[in-house]
Amino acid sequence: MPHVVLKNVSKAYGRVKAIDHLNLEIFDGEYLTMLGPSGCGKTTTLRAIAGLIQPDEGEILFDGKNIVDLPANERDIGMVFQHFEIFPFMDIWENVTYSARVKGLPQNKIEELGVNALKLVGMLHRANDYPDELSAPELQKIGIARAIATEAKLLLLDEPLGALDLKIRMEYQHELRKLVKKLGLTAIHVTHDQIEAMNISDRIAIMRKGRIYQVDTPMNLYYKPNSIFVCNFLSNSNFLEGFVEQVQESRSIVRLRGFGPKIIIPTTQWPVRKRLVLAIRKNEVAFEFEPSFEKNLVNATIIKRHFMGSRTIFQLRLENNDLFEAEILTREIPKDLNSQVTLSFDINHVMSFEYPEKLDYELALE
Amino acid sequence: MGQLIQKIEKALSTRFARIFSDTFTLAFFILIIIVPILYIFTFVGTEWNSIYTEIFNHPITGDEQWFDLTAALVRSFEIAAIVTVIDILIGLPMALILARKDFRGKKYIDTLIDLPLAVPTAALGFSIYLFWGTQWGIGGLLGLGGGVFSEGPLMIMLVHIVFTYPYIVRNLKEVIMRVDRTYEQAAQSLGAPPFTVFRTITGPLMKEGLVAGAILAFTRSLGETGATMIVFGVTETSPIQIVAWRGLGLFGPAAFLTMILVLVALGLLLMLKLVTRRVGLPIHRVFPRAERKLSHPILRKSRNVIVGLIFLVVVILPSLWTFVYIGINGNAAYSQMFLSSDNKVAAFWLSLMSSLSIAGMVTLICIILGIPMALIMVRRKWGKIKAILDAMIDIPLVIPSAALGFSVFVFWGTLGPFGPGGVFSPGYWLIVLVHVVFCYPYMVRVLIPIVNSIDPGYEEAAMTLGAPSFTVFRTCTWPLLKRGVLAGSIITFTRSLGETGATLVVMGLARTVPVLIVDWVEAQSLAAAAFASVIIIIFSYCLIFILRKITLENE
Repeated sequence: MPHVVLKNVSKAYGRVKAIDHLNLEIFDGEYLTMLGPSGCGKTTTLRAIAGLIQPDEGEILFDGKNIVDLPANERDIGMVFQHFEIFPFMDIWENVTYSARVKGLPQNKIEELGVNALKLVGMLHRANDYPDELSAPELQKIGIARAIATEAKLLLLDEPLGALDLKIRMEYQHELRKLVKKLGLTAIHVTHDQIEAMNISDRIAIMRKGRIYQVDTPMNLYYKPNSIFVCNFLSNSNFLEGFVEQVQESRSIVRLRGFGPKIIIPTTQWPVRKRLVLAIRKNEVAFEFEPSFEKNLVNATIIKRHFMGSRTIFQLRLENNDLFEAEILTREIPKDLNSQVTLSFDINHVMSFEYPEKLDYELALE
Repeated sequence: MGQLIQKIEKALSTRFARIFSDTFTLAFFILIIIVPILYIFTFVGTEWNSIYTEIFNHPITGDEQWFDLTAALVRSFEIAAIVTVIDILIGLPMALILARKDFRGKKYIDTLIDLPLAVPTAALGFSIYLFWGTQWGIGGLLGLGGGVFSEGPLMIMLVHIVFTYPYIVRNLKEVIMRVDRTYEQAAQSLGAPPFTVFRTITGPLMKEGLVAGAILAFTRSLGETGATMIVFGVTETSPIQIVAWRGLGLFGPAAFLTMILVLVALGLLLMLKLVTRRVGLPIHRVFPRAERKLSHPILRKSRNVIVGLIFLVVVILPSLWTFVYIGINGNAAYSQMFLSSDNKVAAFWLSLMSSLSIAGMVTLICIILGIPMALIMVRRKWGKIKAILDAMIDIPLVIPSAALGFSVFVFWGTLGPFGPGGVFSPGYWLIVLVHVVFCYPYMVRVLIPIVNSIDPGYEEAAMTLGAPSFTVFRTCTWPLLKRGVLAGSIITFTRSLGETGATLVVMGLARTVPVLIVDWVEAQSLAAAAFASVIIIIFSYCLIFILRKITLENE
């Protein structure tokens, strides 16, 4: 039912473009997350979909119908807010049935919606309490119940778990997804938490500075990022500069800058002498003891060590003086500072990108 | 030199100096501000027998005074109630527009709304009188021989609406802006049309502010004298009655009426502090159909237009009409001012000088004694005592100024506790004293939030760097405070400049400009009164302009 399409939607605040000609399609029954650093325009996009702000240009289609001029109260949406916004002067029951009441539904329908929604989140027993008697996680449940009680098939979630403690957040991610799927809703979720997005979504739209960089499944985004920014935002990687030296049948050989080590990449898409940025995830690197031909091997010197509990982060210097970091299970044999090691990492996991105009910009996380 | 200052500041920083300053500040507040106001109860108590005779059992007039008194009191209440209701009806939409909408020219409307605040009410009342009540106003434009309305209750209401309008709009705008918008957005996302959002969400969240604003407008209207003097005709309100009785030497009835008004004001203040929280509004029921209709864009647009028109026709045009009148009657004004035998220009000059000198003196006293009071209110941790002080500071604000003036007049004069000699007789210094009483709360109320906003961290840092507490005040607190002091000074100055009611009671032979305007209107020297009004209005506008500049830069 709800199939949401954004066509060339733009919104500027003064000279700052909050969203810039945005195009996005959200399919019926899908759980889509908009993910990006703060100020990327994800909340603005969500509010434009909700009708709480008016875009400067562009179309927003619900099931093929342009609803850009429709005010929020006529859009048939359920929205969950970051700070829940449970009306403080109404009790829980009045909060949850607010939508049904202002829409003028018959009394028995109001009862039914309120009871069902509260049951769904397990809060029916708190119906007569006031918001100031509830804890943050409970208020969050009421926020969801109130949105569900609108009977809307489109659920908009603005950092709905942001105000909860880290441990509770993990548990709620699972609950939230289960609920959305059970009710067959379409959900658009905004967050800046990568793990939450990965955990909860069917697809993720990665946003930055008012634009969408990539929309795909969590797995694809992680393994096949289309840009240095997405790669850096979703995974902790080393970024190394190099040039294509040789193109083989199914792979290419890149030599790192400053006559550095050779690294094999699993693609033939770049021509010889092409300047590239290679990305190697820090947690996919290991110390090598038995060299194998199917892996990239690089010599390095350990210069710093940070103990992080189960893992230890090593800072290393490669032969060409480039710095490199590796996140290795602490239980593996400890290495001393200044010792020479051989690092290994899977050929298929090396990602390669065209060298951008401004590498700093691509690597900035804002 | 530097060493001397250091020594002085060290001496001023001792515990003893602090205790002394606190004691002095509080003593001043209690003895000069509060006790004279409340003295009226003692006075009525001790003089009860003669007052009773005068009011209820006079050998000639019988209980006529009592009859007049209750009639005026009831009338005052009726007028204040109607004014408050109309104020909210026309002020609330304007406040909503100013708080929630962005449009070009909003800044100017915002400034225009403050206009009536700056002008002495006597000048304002005169301007409105010219607009509605004479052939040079709307009546002339419509081709009538005279005014549209004559002096009386209707015109009193029109005047009161104009000068309470800025209070109510300012107040409600602040309140609406403090309401968290996301609640409204949540309601909207749940399907509530704009009118329902306002009634079920914004309304309940702002109801305390709404009630507070209403009470404030009510007290303003109840206590107004200056403008009412000009348009009351034969229907006396209570403040006017006090002025009249005091003029006739009927101190007994005047004292009794003053006491009633003080009691009423204290009651209203108590309501303001305690009861506003418990007021219920019908928020739980929802009327989907009717409210959806009320939310229709056309209705909302026409509401905006109506609000704008009312603002223009009822508030702005009448309060600026003196300028039009002077434009038409420039020659008459010139001849009345400069060519008449009673030398009006000299009288005007004299009263302008005393007005400015009184206002300046009052401002100075309020600065010197207001700053330590504000510091006490924010920084001292006195618990309950502070809560009581906090309520007491507002007492002069809610008491009709004529009643306040009469009370102070009785306290310091020959009828007071200082015996038949009295301390101050009516005249310059008694005017200053009365003005200090009702200006002091303004100064303190402006300063308190500013002191509050000063991060004590700076002062702590200065202290750890070795500065004694007075030096801390001079080097750290004062630079952050001085804009606030300037703003407070301008408000105090304009208050004092524009006051009529209390001044009429205590002035003796001295004259201030508002009193002069009232005198000239009574003597039908309209052109001269207009001349005096225009000058004092321009003067006040300049002050308010500076004030806005200061406060805007502060933001």
